[in-house]
Amino acid sequence: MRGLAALWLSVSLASTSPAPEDLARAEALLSRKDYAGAEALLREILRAEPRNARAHGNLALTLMPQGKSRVRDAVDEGRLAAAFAPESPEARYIYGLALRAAGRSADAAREFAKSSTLAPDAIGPLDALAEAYAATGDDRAVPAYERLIALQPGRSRYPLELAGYLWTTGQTERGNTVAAAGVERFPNDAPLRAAYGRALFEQQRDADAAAELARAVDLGVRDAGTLSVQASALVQAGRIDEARSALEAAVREHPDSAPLRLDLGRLYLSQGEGEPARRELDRAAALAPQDAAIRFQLGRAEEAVGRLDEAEASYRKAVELSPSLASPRYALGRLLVRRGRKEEGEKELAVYQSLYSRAARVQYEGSSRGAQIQLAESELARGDAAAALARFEALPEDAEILTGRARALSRLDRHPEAVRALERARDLQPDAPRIEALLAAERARVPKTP
Amino acid sequence: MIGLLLALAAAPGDCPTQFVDVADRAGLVFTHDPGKTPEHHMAETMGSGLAWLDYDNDGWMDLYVVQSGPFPPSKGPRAQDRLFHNDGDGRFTDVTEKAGLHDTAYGMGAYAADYDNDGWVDLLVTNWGGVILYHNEGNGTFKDATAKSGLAGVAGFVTAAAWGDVDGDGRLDLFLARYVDDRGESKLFCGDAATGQREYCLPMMYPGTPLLLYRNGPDGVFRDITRPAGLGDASGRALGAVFVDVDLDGRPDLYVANDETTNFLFHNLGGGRFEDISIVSGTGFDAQGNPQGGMGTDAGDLDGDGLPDLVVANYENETNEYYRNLGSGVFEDASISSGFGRPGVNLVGFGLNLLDADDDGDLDAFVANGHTFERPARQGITRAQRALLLWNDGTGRFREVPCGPAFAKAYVGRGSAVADFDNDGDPDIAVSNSGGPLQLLRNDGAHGHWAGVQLVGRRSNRQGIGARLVAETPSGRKLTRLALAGNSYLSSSDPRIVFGLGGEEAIRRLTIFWPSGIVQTVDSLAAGKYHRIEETETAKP
Repeated sequence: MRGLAALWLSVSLASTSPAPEDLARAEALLSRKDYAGAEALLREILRAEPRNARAHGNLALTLMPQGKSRVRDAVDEGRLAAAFAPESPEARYIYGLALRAAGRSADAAREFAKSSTLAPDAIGPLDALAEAYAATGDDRAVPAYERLIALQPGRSRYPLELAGYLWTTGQTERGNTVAAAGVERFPNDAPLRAAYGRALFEQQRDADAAAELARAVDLGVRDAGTLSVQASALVQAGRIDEARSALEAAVREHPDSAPLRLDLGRLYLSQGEGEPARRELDRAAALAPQDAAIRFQLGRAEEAVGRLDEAEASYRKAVELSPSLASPRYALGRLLVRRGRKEEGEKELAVYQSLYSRAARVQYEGSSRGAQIQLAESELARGDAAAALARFEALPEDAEILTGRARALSRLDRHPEAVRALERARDLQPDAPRIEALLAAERARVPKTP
Repeated sequence: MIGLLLALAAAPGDCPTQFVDVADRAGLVFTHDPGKTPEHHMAETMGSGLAWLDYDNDGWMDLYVVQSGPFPPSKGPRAQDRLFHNDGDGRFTDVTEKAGLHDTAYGMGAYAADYDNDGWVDLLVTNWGGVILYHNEGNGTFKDATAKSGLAGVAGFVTAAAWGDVDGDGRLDLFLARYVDDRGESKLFCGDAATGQREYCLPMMYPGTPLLLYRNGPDGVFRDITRPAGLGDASGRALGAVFVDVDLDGRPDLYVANDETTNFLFHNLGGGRFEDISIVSGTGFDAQGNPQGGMGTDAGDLDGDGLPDLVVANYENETNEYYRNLGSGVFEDASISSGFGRPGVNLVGFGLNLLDADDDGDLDAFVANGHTFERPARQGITRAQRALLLWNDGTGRFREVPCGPAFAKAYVGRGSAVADFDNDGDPDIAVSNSGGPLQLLRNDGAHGHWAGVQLVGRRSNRQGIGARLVAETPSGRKLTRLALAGNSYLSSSDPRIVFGLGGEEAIRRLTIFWPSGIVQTVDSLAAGKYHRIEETETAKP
């Protein structure tokens, strides 16, 4: 917020205020986070001069940090600032910030866009605009970030955010190109390399991920999460010995990290090394005694080395900690059967079977539905909106399907129906910025009745 | 390049034997056609299988190879399966026309067995859409007996099959596995919706399908007994099946490998009824209770304890499974501890055969691998993949050593079947590759002594399918082998049993547990030849 106030203050706004000293004092209070004091002073100014855009804008900035209950007022003040100074990039920017705080991402993006048009080289509005577009899955985020990269070539944050946007919207190769250019330009930027490495791992480019994450680690990224992903990438690339070395080093560096010890124990188990696995998982269980997954893997290790009583106890503990976790049920049931306690084992296996059946049904329904949506999406992408609409209409209604229907309807110029579909989607999923953005755009397309 | 490929194979010194692809020089000219379409139908990923059979009883194993062809099936010549006659001199001749075989459906698997006990081996072909049962007329030709045998109504995505006498009446009954229900496939899109570039969908996006079990009646008609047999509630995505008596109670149990779904083990209760012991037996999932992408399956005694173990070839990122039989229908997952599973982790396994590759008396394993996707997502994973040869140290522990140039080259491997096609006592392997050439991996090189057995059933089915054979060597070593009809992926192998004897030169005593319940012993079988053994008429006390 300090940055935002500074922006306001740094740009000369044609002010006809009779009390510039009071405004300066209010802004000083705001920058010191004395919101109550700033608000009181600004309201006093506005009583004297109700059309003072700068005062309205500053009041909006003052209200925003004061909790959710004040955000609505902040939006009103921002609107007044923009109304009284429509050509002021600062007023537009502040209005956009208030709208964003109110969760109205699409409206916020509109104001940020206006602000950015009025002040093309101002970083704040453009930054907010790129972020707003990215939040709504709007591809205009790309030129916004590209402009930021051009304006601030020394900042690695923007390539990282642009790549992140492209990855999350399925534009994988474009994201990789941006990230690769970023790491070439900022070879020593550890967070950028770590993010790129994680993205490569998500893309199943395991060898590339391992290499990128190794560089990030060399540059000082030593958190347990990154080290764990690095080891996973090595495992997936089939470089088991390197993964083992990396994990053993990581555990030495983070001796209290139960997740890292779990990773190492599982790696040992996958290689048939029961005793080292048991030792590692035993330590992990001591560090995280309430972690069912660790107890389950500990049980497996104990079973592998023939410590069946202990294995049974570990499986039972895992079941107790997480009754809906299927794997420990299975392992416990199987162990009991193997130990000749068939009836007892079968009871556990019956529970397992019902958990498995449910999960299998959910998986089938989810994946099949996903592929059906993809078919509609592909039809939409190749311009056959009518076919896409028919597909979406054949699928059970939820926010995603309604959004798809709306996009197809929009392509068919059936905008009022598209708006209705999006309104239903919003009702089902009230906090989705993308739906808000689509709804705002669609409303704008509805022809005005004379 | 050739030098590099050869260098990838293990040095001859590491290998007891070498496998060399001799398909071309043997005249086995066949290229599988998956019938690729822009729509990317699931059926296109399947590849096909093959069957070894001595259809003319000349003592040499012939080879039937299944073709897929255009999709949807158009019944044209591109889809014509092939029968290759083994000329006994290392060469094969295409006798498809002469034999009257005209299967031009979109083919899946082939399963040879003498279902009518007339002494001539018949052939079942599974297809997308149904099956064809070819009756061997005994004169070098086959006749389509599908309608007459009551199998014309079989529908769906039929994949694996297995022959076994489930009710002990001396006739081979038929299990049919089906994969997914793909009738709603046109409603699915997998791949990049934005560019329209398709990839094949995953099996779990399709509904599973019920299994089918047919009883072979005295009138030669197969009748659907799926529901009365207790299999009616099982819905899978089945790709592999094997009849094997896991608890040695004399009745064939049924194991089914399913893709991304629990595998099934049905315990035969007698009287044509089964109980589902998939989960309690420990053969339904991996050790953590996760279903795997099961493809081919086989059964055999891997650790020399006399009990049939089960193996399954699985999808990428999964181990191939080795379920060690502990007795009484209980198994443990020995995939990791045995070394059997790990070599397959980055591969997509399909064909899987247990075979004593070096005739040393223990069962080794062959795995044909190849991806289902055109562009596998994981870095470093290719569509074409090399096959695996896993060597057993005699205790059920395995080490992967690719022996011979046949293992240096990658293919999109699918069905595989084992036969001693040159009658030299060592197992050779035929492999069907999706979109690629047929391979015949001839087993060359030094190996142990051997003795072969060809069963002739009397009260049991004619080929003794389902028999368990225990050979005792002069040193007292006991070797257990199983007579199966249907295993691996979409395939069936040489029905003859070969005992690798290592350094020993004879079988001191052979005990045959016939499916009829008769237990027959034969003393002193010489090494280096096949012995034809007829079932005795009465049980030995």
